[in-house]
Amino acid sequence: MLNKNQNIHRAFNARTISLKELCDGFIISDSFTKLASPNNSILIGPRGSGKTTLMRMLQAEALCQWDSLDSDYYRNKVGFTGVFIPTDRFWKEQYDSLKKAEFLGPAEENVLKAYFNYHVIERLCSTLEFRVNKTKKSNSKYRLVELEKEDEIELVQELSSLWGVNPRINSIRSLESSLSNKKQSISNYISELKIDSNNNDTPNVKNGELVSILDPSVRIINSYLNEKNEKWCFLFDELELAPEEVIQPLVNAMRGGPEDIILKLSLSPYHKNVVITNSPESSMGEQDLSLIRLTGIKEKEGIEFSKKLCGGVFESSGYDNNVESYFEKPEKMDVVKEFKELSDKDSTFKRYLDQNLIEIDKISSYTDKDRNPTIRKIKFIAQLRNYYLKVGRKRPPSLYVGFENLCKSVEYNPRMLISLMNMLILSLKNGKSISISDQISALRRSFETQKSLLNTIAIKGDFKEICTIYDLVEFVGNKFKENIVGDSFQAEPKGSLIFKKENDKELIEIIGYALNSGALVLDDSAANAYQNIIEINRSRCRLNYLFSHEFKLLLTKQREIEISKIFELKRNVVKVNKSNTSSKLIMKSNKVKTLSKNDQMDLKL
Amino acid sequence: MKMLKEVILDDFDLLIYGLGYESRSIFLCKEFHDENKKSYTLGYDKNIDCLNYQENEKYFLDRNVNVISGEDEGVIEALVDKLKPDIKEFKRILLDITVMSRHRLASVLDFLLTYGAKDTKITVVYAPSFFVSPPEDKTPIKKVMEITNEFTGSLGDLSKPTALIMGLGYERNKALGLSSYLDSGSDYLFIPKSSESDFEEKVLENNDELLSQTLESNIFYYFIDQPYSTYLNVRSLILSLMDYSRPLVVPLGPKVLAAISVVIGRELYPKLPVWRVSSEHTEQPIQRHANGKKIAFTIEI
Repeated sequence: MLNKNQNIHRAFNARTISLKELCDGFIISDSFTKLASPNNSILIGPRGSGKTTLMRMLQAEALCQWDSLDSDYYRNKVGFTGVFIPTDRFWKEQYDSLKKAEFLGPAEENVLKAYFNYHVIERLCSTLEFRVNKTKKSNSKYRLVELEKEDEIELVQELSSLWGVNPRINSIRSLESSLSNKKQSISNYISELKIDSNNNDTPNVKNGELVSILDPSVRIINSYLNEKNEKWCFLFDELELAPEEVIQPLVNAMRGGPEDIILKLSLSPYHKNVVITNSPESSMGEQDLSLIRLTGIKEKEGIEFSKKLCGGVFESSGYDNNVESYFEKPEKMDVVKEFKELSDKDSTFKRYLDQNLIEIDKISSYTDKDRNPTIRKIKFIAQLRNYYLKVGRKRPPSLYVGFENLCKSVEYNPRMLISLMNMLILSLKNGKSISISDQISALRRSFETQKSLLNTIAIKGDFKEICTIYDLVEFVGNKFKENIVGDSFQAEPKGSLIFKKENDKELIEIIGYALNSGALVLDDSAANAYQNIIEINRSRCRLNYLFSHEFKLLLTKQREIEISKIFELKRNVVKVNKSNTSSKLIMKSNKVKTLSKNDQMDLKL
Repeated sequence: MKMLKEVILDDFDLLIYGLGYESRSIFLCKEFHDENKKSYTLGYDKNIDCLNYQENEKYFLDRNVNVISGEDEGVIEALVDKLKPDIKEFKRILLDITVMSRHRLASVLDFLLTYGAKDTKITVVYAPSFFVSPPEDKTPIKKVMEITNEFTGSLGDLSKPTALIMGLGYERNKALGLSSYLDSGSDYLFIPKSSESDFEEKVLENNDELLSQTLESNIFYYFIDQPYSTYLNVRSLILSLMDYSRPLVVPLGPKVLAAISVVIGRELYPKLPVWRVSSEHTEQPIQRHANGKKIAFTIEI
């Protein structure tokens, strides 16, 4: 999914690596196969989950260049021309700031709003240029199209008129340049309004809803390329960073939109202003779009993917064996020993065994028909509890170490997997295996890095002592930890959070940001996958498994607790009245030595 | 407008200071003040009873310095109102940024650069303090915004990646938070070097995560007491990045870098975005004594 040949520094950002690097290291996953289908899709995942890689790999340029055993299969399978639309957080901040600027009247705002339309059209034109002029030089000739010079001239004239641009010559390349210039002229115009708000040199722009511009554009292109019903797929990466006014119409267009246009939108799990399912008009089902989630991946799929990705990382450092062979394996759990040790020091556990008629000496003789299901249910809890109640030197519990457990601990997140593997490779010297303690150290380091990041994300709201996302993690983690290593043994510890008709908007927003950052993960078993996107109500989530080692938690699904209950106590009672803050300006002249009423000039600000 | 190789440190006809609770707030006034010249000091509306604030205010008032106190926007507006009518008459201006917030120093410096007469020389001066440990409190990022409204920067080409140019300060992981928040294409880090070796150590220690994730070729050191060479280095990096990315400057760390960034921002106006971050964190007042040195640079309009 992500590039396996990256060094530790560059692996963190799929947006900036070259197309060649992206293709060379690309690993196919089930999510990619789903995303490659010719229907509208929403791809949901937190940062680092591989959204950008998947979206970039579907653009025509990437599919053309991709050279692997599977690439021909996918070139045949992908029945559309993919147009990748990048976004950027800083650009979005600038855009939002300019939109609020005093010097922007309604007319100027319309010019600003047209920028993103031109950005998308430019990408469309660039892909068209690629198909007409560049793909012929490639080996795959993917989506090659022949266009007579006269037809190209006419096509350019038609599109120029539709888009309101004036290319110097009637070629697609020149058309693309003119779109780039248009973006620049909008950017310059808006900037210069600061200097001269009466600037009358207003660029002529094409306004309107994006899809209503793309629809005729695609029809014109298809007509000149002689490709009736060719599908053009617009791959909007991190759509939450597009202008606000663009997002909802795009989501709405996924239902009954133009027939030659496919929309694939990647989004973070939570976006407070986008409504996908909660109104009758926008309700969607499987027939309208496929929803692909990149978190809460099934274990089998995750391990298979991790083996390929991590294998590639090891291979690029000269380690060609099966990647799992480099990892020291944890000892198999001795249930009898763990149970004996724990029941000797923990009367609550002993009581539980007695109540459930479990005799430690007879464990090997139990079957699935009697006590085995219970033993399976409690054995990891008992192991963890035994470990943390033990005094003196001890080996780390087996549930966190070994290749598969490490991959699970980072939720099979590509960015984190690459980072973790790069750390582990450093401890692989002279072909020896990576020791359990080195595995734990690397896991700990990944945790520390994530903790640092989450500590920089502020939380808005009046929660006692919770001012960052990490504070939230710590609070929830410690609550759950109590269930595992607290005073009494619990066979069914709580380990996930559930919302039941939650009306606390502030709390929902905090949970939303925690989901976007990957600190919390939506649970697979939530009632309705569609509701998970925006409607946090009634959905269920848990802490990212990366925190399990730190908070002594399991790497499996646990019972839920209602979120409002655990947060009740954290609410601050007194709200600060912000309007009480002083807004007075005091000026003191040098001629006055003491402050009196006459010496003060209070200005209303 | 150009930054001069040599620094002008005398014959000022307008002096603008900052008034704060740190003892070093008056350090440069002691050295440069001339009671016969027009002068202002910009005070705050918070922490005015803390540490040396009142004492400092009295010091300024006793020396015929006009005191303007209040919240940022009001103070800046009032200063601009006072100065704008005859700003072109001043030929040598001193701006003491020692206790000014980044927003204040940027606003005042930008005003002087924009409205000052041609050939006017503006000297920006900073009085460093002895080392004080960084705040223990977390400083999560709540807002990312322009250093002043003038420096939003052009939207540029969205197809190009953002190149984030950051000065590093000694607050734990503040730069990491910004880098992570913006998820920029590439980060370029400027690490301050100064005579206070404890400071440099803390900068490295408290940014270790970010430093370990950044390509070595994107990490630069600058001497905070050599603003001219810092200006040249930052400017040349920005210009080279403009060809294939959208550079964004966020001068965390020593204020001298913020002032230099404003100068470059004004030179490249309105293209270059110069931004700041805010944790909306109320800093606990800490005493900072001047270490006796001063860092200065002069710009000729």
